[in-house]
Amino acid sequence: MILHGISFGISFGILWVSLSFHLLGIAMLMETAAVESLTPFIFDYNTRVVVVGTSLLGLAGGAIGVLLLLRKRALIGDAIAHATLPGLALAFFVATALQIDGKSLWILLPGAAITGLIGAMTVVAIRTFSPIKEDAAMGIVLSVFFGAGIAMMRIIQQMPDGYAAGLEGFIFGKTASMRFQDACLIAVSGATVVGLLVLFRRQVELMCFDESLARTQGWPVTFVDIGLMAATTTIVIVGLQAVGMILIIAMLVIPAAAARFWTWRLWPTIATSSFIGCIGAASGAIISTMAPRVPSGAAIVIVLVILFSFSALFGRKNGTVWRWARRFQQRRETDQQHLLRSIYEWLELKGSKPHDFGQTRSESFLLNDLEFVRNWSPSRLARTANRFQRNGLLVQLSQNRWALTATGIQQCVRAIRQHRLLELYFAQIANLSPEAIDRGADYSEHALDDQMLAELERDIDGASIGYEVPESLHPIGNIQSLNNQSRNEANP
Amino acid sequence: MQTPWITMDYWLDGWIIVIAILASVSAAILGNFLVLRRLSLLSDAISHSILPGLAAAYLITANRYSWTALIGAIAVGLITVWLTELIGQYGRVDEGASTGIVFTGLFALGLIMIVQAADRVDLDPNCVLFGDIELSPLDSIVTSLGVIPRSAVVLTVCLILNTLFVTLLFRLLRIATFDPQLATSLGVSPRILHYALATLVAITSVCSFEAVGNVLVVTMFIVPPTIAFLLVNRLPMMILVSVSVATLAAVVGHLSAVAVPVMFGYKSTSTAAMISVISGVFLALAILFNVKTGVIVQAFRRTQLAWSILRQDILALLFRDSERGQSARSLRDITKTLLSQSWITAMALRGLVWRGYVNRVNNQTSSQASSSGNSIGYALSNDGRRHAQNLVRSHRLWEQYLATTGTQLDRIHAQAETLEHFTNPALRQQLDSETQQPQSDPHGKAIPPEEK
Repeated sequence: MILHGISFGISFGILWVSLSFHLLGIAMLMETAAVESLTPFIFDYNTRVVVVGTSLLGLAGGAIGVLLLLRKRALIGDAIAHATLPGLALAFFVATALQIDGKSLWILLPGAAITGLIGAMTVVAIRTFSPIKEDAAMGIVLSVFFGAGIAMMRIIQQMPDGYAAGLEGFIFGKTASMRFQDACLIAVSGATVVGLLVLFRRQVELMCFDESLARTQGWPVTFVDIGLMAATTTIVIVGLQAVGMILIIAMLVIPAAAARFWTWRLWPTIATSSFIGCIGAASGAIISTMAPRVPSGAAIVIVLVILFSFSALFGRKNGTVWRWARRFQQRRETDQQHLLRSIYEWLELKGSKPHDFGQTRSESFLLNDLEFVRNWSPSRLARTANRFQRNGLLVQLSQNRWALTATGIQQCVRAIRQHRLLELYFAQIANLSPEAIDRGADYSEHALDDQMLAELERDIDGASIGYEVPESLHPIGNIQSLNNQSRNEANP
Repeated sequence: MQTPWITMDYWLDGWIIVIAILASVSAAILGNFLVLRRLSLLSDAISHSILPGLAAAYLITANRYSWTALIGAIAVGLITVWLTELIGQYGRVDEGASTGIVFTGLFALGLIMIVQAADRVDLDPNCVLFGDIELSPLDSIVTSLGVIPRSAVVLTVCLILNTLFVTLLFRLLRIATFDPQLATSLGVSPRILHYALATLVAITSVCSFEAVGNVLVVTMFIVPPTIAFLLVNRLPMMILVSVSVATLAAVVGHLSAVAVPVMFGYKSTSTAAMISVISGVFLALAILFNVKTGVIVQAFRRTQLAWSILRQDILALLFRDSERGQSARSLRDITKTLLSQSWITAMALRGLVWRGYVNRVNNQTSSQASSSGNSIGYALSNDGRRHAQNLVRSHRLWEQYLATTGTQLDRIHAQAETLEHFTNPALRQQLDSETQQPQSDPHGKAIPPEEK
């Protein structure tokens, strides 16, 4: 409970910090002289504007992206982004007709927002009023709106004075054109979006995880959903300049998906996602200012993909490296139990089974003989046996002759008891063939802890077994060697 | 940019239309299966992510059409599908999100490769998005059949490949599309077909890359099959319709690209973009007006039904009045009794008068005090009486029938009120015999005889 409280506290702290960071960002750009003396950056003023602007964008995009991901609406951002192009072109037409500067953001961005929202609404309308599925609806809106935009752009290119130059920057992103006002716009809209997120955190939380409950409690889910779309559109249009409409979706999806490798709780995910988005956007912007031929959108996406890959490999939740490590560990433990059991079975077959009382060392055996009970390669046998010797379970008497130590006997008896008790239990509850029982016990014996073992002993009439090792229900030996044996017996 | 023609040039425009048709049809054939298997966004993802494969091939061979480009694109297409599955599985995100990660990452990589190599490779990043179909006829090769644009040759091969895939594997594809479990149990892995489909989508995207670019090709993959999906029910028919729509959209698209901007005083615009817009217009028409599920068609049907129910309710009301000995009712009375609005009732009454079911009469005998101000009343004609009698007969037979099935008495009126509008003579006959030809309904009202 306390831990949860702390983690919530921290993540809300991060959110509030991000909120104030938005406002701080503006201050940082305004107080040029003061900041210049303090800032650790060696960048000039323009670069700083770009870096602050894009990192704020990454912060807000990462936060809103988590909600899109949880609502399974990730790609609607892509549809919105592509649908902004006709809006940009139309706004340019209108502005030119009215003899206003068509490249002003105050003209272009509202136009982009209008068609972007129309695009999102069209997806919803197609899904609601026709039998067309959501994926097709998104593909349709994305490509048809973009086509309309391209058709208009081609006409704008024919207008005098080469006007289109400013508009093409929105397709792939051109951070170099970002000015102080643009960074402020990003900061204000980002702060609004994050602020609304914090304000409506309960509704958002409920809607992400239990939409029906939210509905029955009387929350206007549809309005919150439209709000989410509006927030997404806001982030998309202020991000057009930095990342471009083709790749802006990456700023929403990749940080959120990367954060899922670190935590599965909502607010920590949002905080992590914002952090990743911020780092990725800032480094991408820096790279693209240093290497002028790299489009900023592409640079940001590449950095984000690297961060995502790092998370997918090393993330604490389901990260590949940890998963592999766990699997390796499990296989080692399984091998250990299997070999110990084989030793017991082999010694039992020879009539000299080890006892875990009074015996300090078992009868000796040849490692190669164990192949009769367990179908392992000699090298695997040798490898496991050597590890046992290091752990003090086995002792090597001569070149090929080994024996169990007292600890080894104890663990060996424990392993075999687990297996045979399970076999008995399976035989009792299910009428399976001995081979199936053996295989079933083979799979599940490794998961037994002491408490379950005690339960098993009680269930299988513990009095008659006591602390003895029960007899095996089936002939000992792996199937191949048993077949050979029976063939030899049939044709002596 | 200098457009290559001012007026129609038959060689150039002819080839542009041919190339557009070839690209649209190749994409539409595969698109049917993408739409039906809900993989529409796979075309978006693959058409974006082939960029690094293409860029690498350009860098190696400095040639737009080469085996290297094809192999590179196929490899990246398959990697896209594989990575998408992987991320979806381990990252616990839905398919849309994992697609978004993979294709943006690969596209960004390809973009950087192209921009870095801009000196050596003649490839404009903007053309990546929407192609350059107007210039593609200019890159032609001389064959025994004459001078043919290279794109046309490449796209023809692609079309043949896609057609062969769909026709030869038609049965398998159909089973895997509509019943993946059955396909698995028959020994066909839907996963292998999924990868095969992805490979062909990648090949088609590469072949039409120069003509239409990677965003507009998504229209060609998705929109014609979606239109066909709205119009017809069977898969072979759907493929045929999608191919026809694709052809039509290509032709109309090019013509409008040449004609529409001229109306506003500009030169022609991008053909690929206009094909996309025209396809969108076709789709909008299909969504609004298709016979099965068209939004406007359905709204029209609903309105028709509502009007006809209101007219029948008025007839039945007037019939019940005449049973009580009252011959006519005013508009205001009818509106109030049926909880309607006066202009709606007036419209319905006008329809009834026009059909000759109701006559306008001077309403001197009105017993309702409230209607004294209005002396115009409405009464049933002989035709109307016959219809109304059958309606009331349906209503009372239903009440009788529902009462015999054990429905509570206070509920039978409401149910009969709905059912009476959907009862034909045959059903009335059946109800009559099921209830042993009753003379009156459970409320004690007489059931009138059937009128022919």
